[in-house]
Amino acid sequence: MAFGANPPTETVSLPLLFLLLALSPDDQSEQRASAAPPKGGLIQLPELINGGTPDYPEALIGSGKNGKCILLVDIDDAGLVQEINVQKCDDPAFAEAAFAVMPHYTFIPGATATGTVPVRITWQADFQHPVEAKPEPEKPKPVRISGKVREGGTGVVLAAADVTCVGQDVYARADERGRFELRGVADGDCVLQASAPGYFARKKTIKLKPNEAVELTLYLSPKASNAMRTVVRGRKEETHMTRRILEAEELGRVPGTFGDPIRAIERLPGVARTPFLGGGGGLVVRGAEPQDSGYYLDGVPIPALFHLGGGPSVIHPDFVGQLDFLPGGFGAHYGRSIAGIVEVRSRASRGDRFSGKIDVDLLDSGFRLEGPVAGRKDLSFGLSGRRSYIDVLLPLVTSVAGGPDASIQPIYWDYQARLDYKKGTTRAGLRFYGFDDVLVLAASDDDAAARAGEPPGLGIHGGVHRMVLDGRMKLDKKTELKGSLMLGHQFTGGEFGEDIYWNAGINELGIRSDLTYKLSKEHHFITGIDIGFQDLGLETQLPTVAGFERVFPGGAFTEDLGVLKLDENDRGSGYGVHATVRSKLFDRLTLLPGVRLDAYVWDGQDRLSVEPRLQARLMLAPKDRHLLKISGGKYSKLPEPAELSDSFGNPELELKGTWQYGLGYEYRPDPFFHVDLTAFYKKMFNLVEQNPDFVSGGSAPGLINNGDGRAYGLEVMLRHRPSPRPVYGWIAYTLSRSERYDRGDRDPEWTLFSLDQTHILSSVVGYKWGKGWSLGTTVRWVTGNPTTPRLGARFDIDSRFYRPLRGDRRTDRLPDYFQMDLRLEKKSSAKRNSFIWFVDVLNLTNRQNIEFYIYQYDQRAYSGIAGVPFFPSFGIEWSW
Amino acid sequence: MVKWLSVSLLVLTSCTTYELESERQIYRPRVLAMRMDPPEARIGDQVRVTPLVALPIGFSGVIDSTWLDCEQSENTSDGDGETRDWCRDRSKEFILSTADELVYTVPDTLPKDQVEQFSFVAGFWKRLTLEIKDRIGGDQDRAFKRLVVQPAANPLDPQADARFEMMRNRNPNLPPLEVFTLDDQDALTPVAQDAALQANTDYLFRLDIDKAQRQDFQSFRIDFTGIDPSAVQDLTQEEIEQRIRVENRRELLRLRLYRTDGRYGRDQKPVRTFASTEEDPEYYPAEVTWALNTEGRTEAVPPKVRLWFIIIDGRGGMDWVVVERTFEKGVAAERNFEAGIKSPPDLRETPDGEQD
Repeated sequence: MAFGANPPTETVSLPLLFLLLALSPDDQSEQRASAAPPKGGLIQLPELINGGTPDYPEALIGSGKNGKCILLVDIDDAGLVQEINVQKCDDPAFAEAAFAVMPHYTFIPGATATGTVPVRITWQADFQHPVEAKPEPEKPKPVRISGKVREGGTGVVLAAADVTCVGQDVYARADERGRFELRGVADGDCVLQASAPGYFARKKTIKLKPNEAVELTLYLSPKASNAMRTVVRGRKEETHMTRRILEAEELGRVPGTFGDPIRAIERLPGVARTPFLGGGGGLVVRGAEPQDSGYYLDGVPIPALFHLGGGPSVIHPDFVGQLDFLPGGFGAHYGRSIAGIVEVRSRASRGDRFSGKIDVDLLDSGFRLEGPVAGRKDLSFGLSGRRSYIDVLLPLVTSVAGGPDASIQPIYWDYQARLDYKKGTTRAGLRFYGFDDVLVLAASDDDAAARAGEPPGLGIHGGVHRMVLDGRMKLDKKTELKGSLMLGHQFTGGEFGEDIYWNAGINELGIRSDLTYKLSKEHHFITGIDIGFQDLGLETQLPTVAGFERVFPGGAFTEDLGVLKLDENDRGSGYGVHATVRSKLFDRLTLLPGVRLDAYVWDGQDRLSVEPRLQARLMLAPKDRHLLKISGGKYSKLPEPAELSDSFGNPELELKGTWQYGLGYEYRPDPFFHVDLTAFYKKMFNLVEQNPDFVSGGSAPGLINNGDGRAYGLEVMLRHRPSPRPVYGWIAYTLSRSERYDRGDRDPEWTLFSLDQTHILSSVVGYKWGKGWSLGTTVRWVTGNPTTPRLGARFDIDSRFYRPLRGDRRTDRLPDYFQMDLRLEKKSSAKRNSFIWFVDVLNLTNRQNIEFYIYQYDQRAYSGIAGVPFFPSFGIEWSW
Repeated sequence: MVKWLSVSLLVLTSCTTYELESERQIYRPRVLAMRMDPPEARIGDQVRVTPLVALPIGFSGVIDSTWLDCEQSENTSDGDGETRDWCRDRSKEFILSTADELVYTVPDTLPKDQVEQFSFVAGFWKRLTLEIKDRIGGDQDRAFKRLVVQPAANPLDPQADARFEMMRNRNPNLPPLEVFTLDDQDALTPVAQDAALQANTDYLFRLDIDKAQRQDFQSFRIDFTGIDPSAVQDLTQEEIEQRIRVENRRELLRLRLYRTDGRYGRDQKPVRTFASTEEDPEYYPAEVTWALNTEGRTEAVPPKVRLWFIIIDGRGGMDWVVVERTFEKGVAAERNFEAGIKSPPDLRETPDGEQD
């Protein structure tokens, strides 16, 4: 306020008043001759009864100046202001402000004993600079509707989602936590509309009673082609000739895999088809044996990808984040493999919220749980597990009259437990995982089998248990360090009746560390160590020739067999060092010279391999669209432990190896579509074979490094990765030939590899047409596997069976294989629950694909054993 | 995830559908056996080889027989080239005879060192082949059998000759075949020799073989008991000689039934894989069941059935009985033609059914 607002009685002190009265009457009289001086003493001072306060002068606003004016005010006997004189004023503007209002003051007049009298008083007006004018805050309207916007099914909060009360012009945008508030919504119906990019808009009508506030969560369904989820990548600085990456969105939708993501690899170029449902303990990559490829889980080798050789994968599908497939020509980072590499990259557990999944089917049940640890965003946990129960259900079926005499009962289970730490660029994890497989061939009536003198059953058992600690961090701007430590135990065992069994266990320790150092922007140095220790223990009791006796064909040979009990312990270790320089020259050419040294010690035998490898990648104009690549290198592998066994193999076997060469071209017209052509040649040497000179009881070993092989071919892949477009998938074609040098009992010659397939055509195409619907189809057309023709047979009267007369080895083939699979899927969500209904059909056309022949006893006729028939599967997935 | 599999993975095996002929049923001319008299001979001995050629009912063709031998294979490590594809190269074949029976004189061109070497261990095996061909229908079949060859007689070693005569293998001689019906209570009723066999009836055929037909013989073996297989190669010649054992054995006679129609039950106990050291015969006397059921059968009931019962002794000796009987539908209640056939009571511990 400009004026001090002090009442005169407060600002004019009585002593001062009297003083004024004493001193000024003469002057007053001089100035106001007409004014009668009061007679006698005042008995009442003038008292202000009406008057406003002067405003702070506008001219001084902003000056910050405070001040006062002392005025002499003459008040007549009626109490009205007659004259005002300035006695002292800090600023003339203050006086003007006072004069603007004071003449209109009204007082109770001063009085003496005789009555009212005119009086002069001294009046002090105080002025204070006004404080910065603050607008009066508008009173906020009350929040009537509030809540969060989340993605349906996953519960992920959606920031920047728009929420509107349609028709009332009330709008809010969700914050980074997905929270929104709508204020001032009128009573009655509000049509609430929420929308976000990449999601279907949703409307919901809210009835608001007077003074009511509503809180709710709005779930939006993602569109099928969700632009928010598309990750656009440029070309990665690759250190391998060919790396084919399948991402999570593709993996779970490949028809014919029953949602098992790892099986999608079987549809990639360079992978031969294996009979029936595939798997079979590994992949046939570029014409090599399955055991010659390397299988990794997060950089750590795993002995098997699938339960029971070809069953479900041993890793819970939900924790498979990405699959890398390197069919050959890979860099020095990978070793101890002479064919391809399959790396399963698991997904870190989610720390933003708790989520889970339960799955149940006829074969097994499983679960997944994940979430933050102690509310920390940087630490999360994940748990998953699965157990089959075919062994429980099958006897219920086989006990029905007419059931089979014996049944195969597979039992499998697996688990994964993990802790994930993530802070900045630092990652660390502790994982426990394992699996256990049992396969029992059980008689429907064990007692009857025992009375008949038949073995009580055949069972095999195997499994793996692992603990892995790994991490990754940037030491500085130029250096990144990765490392892992693995402790594990794998085992296998089996029994056949009471006399025959075997148990083998391997305790293992693996240490791996990789360091990337940026010498400059163009030159990187990558090096690492790869160390593994294995301690093998074998206990077995097996049939053996207890003696040498030449028995007439058809004679009672069985009496010559005995039982041998063996205990064997072997220790092995491998020491690998690798180094690669990645140099970018002229902004277009990338050279990757590398070398790998692998030393092996197994049961006291040393082996060393020096493996030079070179890769070159040349970008062609326009940049980042055309890429030429070449590779060459040496690869080696230690034979399998069973092959090195003292008892059953040859501990002096050398490393088996390959020289691999590749030439490739990539064309990438946009970030989602690319064409990849790769030509390859592979020379195999020191392959392990049966020794043709081996005689039981003789001095020659059963196995020798006498095998040679070669494989060559062309791979083509046209791929459209998941994108905002509704179509995704790939077409893969492989033209190849794989041969082995046969030094059998006939003239040595090149013969086809048993799974050589000249043409392998696979297409995986999916279409997402919105509202959660998607349709996928897989088509595979593959040349039939080689067979050896049968030219007839001769009846061996003594042995009582026809001996087939075989033609040249593997010069005939099975019929071509063709199969079409289909998957129709509908995804929907309700609140945090997500549902997927699907139909997955194997072999839609019910084509009879012959996997092998059964020959009539005299070889005159044969019948094909067909693979998987028309096989529909219906299901629903539920997760929250 | 809740998944309803419409078909269990376990039924995948149901896609195994094939229709191949039974090895034990005769659809065309086949050589089922050869009897060599004697089955074990010495260089220079004469051997009569009689084939058992099976013909289907109603066969009207003409069978031409050709006896063949093959030039000595280079791979003779196990006697006469016991390779997988013996005499695969037919240009190395030569004809011995085109008669129905072969009279074969063991030639002295056989590798004498091998004949000598194998004389202690099951002998040297000389294979002889018979090829038959239907002159009209064109069907043909080939079979071969081993003749056990021992070194020629040595006048300077009469003891060896005596031992050979005592130990040499002889063919078993089978008794007449007995035929019974087998009812639900396993009661056996003899069937007259000239009576017709009837449909939907279980028959039991028995060959009550004299135990004397099962010869005792000696076998030589090197005993590796207690030795790690990888250490066998380290045995010295002296150690090997110390481990030579002479074991007394007894022949194990085995029965096989071939037929032109019908189905048969189990004819042999399964041989144990290990520890089969029992001295008693696993199956003795030789019995087998047979029946021809008609329910669901599309073919007409045959007017005759022919059955071949073959006994082998495990050392190359053999004999057979051939039966041809008229057949009629009879009055027994019809049974499913694919149903399993009841096995002889002594073999009941194992599941019934046709065993090919």
